[in-house]
Amino acid sequence: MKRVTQKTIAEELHTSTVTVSNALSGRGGVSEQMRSRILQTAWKLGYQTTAQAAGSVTLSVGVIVAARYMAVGKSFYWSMYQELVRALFPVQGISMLEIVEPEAEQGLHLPAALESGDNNALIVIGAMSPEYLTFLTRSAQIPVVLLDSRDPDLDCCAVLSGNYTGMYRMTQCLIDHGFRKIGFAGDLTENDNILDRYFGYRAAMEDAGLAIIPEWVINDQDPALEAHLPARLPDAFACYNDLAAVRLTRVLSRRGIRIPEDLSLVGYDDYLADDIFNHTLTTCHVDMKRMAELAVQLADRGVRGQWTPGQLLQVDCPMIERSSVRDLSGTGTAGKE
Amino acid sequence: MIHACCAGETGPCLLRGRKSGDSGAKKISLKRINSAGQNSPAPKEKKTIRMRDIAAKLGVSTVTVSNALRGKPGVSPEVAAKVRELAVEQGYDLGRIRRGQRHETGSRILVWSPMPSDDGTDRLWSMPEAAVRTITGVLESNGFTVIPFTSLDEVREMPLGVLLLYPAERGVRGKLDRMGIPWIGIGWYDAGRDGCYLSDDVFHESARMTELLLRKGAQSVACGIPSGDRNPLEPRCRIRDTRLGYERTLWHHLLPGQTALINDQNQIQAFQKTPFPNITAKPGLLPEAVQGWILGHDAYLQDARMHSLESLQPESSLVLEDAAGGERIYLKKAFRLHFPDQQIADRTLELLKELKSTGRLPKAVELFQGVIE
Repeated sequence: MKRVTQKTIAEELHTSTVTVSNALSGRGGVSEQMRSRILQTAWKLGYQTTAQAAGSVTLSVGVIVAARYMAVGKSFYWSMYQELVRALFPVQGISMLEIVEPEAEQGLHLPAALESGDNNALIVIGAMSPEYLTFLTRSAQIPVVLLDSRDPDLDCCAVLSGNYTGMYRMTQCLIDHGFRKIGFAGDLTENDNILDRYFGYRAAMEDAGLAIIPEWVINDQDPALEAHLPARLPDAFACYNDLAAVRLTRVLSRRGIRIPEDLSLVGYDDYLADDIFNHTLTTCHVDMKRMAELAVQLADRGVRGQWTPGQLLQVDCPMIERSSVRDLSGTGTAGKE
Repeated sequence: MIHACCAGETGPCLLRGRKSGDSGAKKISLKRINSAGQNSPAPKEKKTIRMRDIAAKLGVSTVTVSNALRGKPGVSPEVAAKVRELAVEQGYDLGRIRRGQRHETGSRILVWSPMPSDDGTDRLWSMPEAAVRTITGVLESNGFTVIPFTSLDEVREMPLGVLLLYPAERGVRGKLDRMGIPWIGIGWYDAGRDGCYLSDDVFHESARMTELLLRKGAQSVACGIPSGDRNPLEPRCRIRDTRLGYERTLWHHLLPGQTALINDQNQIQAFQKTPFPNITAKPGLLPEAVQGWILGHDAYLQDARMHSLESLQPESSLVLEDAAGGERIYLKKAFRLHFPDQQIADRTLELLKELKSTGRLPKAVELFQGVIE
């Protein structure tokens, strides 16, 4: 590949190399608008400064998460952030966490992580509104990596867990244990990950020749879930995540339904902090460590001028078998060929 | 060869009494007495399975076992198969053999692809030739010997591993496992059964292509071909993922005025209750010719042109629509999604190197993005 020089950028934007040089070195005489276009083009084309080429640039990552995911205490994305910090250590990178309030997300306010100009990469943990993500990627002059969510315009790179294959595996586990009447719990309109998991459930059911009963696809976030539960329940539910499985267990227990004696459940995430269900729920293990490593790798490549836009990496999730699934098959060796 | 085979079947006692199996058998019994005397009512003591254990069980010599496991000549295929099967059953650590063999047979890779059929129907079902060339090319230029084969009966020498190219029969995996031969599924996957798979991400790619069609202004879209898309070799994932990816996009991106055809019983059922209020579903046929097709394979292009909509069953079709109206633009261009040859070839190489040094392959489905052109 031809080396990208300041001249390449100038030609791309129909401007002079002097303007490009001024913009890249932060000197005056360039409009703010032009400067941002130059910076954006520079990293998209893979322009490397002398320091970048020598590998002496410190990776400084701004990390943003929507406030709704960051409950005080332990939470899935707090752990994900810890893994990011750990993954940054070997490349001697540093990070700064910023929580995006709902108002900022709706009002399309630029996070300080971008505005300050101190960072050379941005990692977004978890889902944001499509409008906000589009806004972010359009305004960012640095590589943006999405962790556990996807870009609606598919321009920036993303690292996901294997939602589709993972939920296929969990549903298959229920089928292997002899279940035929299987429902799904999750809010399909909430985000792409849940939708992918729902389709993983669909795929496994279809492969086994089992019907999807619309009443058995329930929304665990429904405040009136208990009232909306169908009178005739399936024998098992594939839940979009572990928390949904816990919510469902509580609602079912009020009807006197026991897990796994009366109904079996599988989850997804393998993350329940200190919940007692942690030791009993059969679930899909999301490898946060690997996901964080890949996100850092992508950001690092972006900073070193080796950026491929729109890369989507998925980390497959193995199943963790515990005791929330009863064996109906009677063979005791469910799942073996 | 034939002689060895007969001896194995008819004279196990003779062999056990005479040959090197003798000392092996004695040692085993001594060990058993020792462990039984030492302890506990534990029914089965966990112990390392050795070649002589396998030899004793089958009534052959340890040399025969060793040769069979290492894929050396001088053992009949039948006996070799029995030895391998028992070794796997007993939990013999085959990784040890592979680690020890690194220098002699460690670079032999068998590539399985099914026999082409006489009537040419397989054109729909094979991996793109260019992709196969890229993968074998990368392996060969890195010192691996690539040997194509079409049946497991042809396997004479123990390879380092086997690549099962799409469309691989599911049964082959079980046979390979029983023979203790590691394999990588390429161009397909099966999340319901542990294994090492490298594939393109058909589900998300189909969703992406559908979105592209809708954004380009197709007013009516359909997926797959209406009939004749069943093949006994098909491991289902590709066709299924194409359809489900298509549907996933409809749920999110169907715009006012756009209609989409669902022609699959499973999908129709699911669509009776879509959580997206902008979509209404009604049974019937598309009022106009379909403007955008999502097809699982290049070869379907011809079929899609040939198939008129009359061949669809009215009762098994469902039309989704948003609102009436909209300008009709017929799409003339075929967008193609390219198989991620290079990425999969590079990853295959990495995995085989890992297999060579550790004797193991990770059990995971790894999916790669293709390029839309």
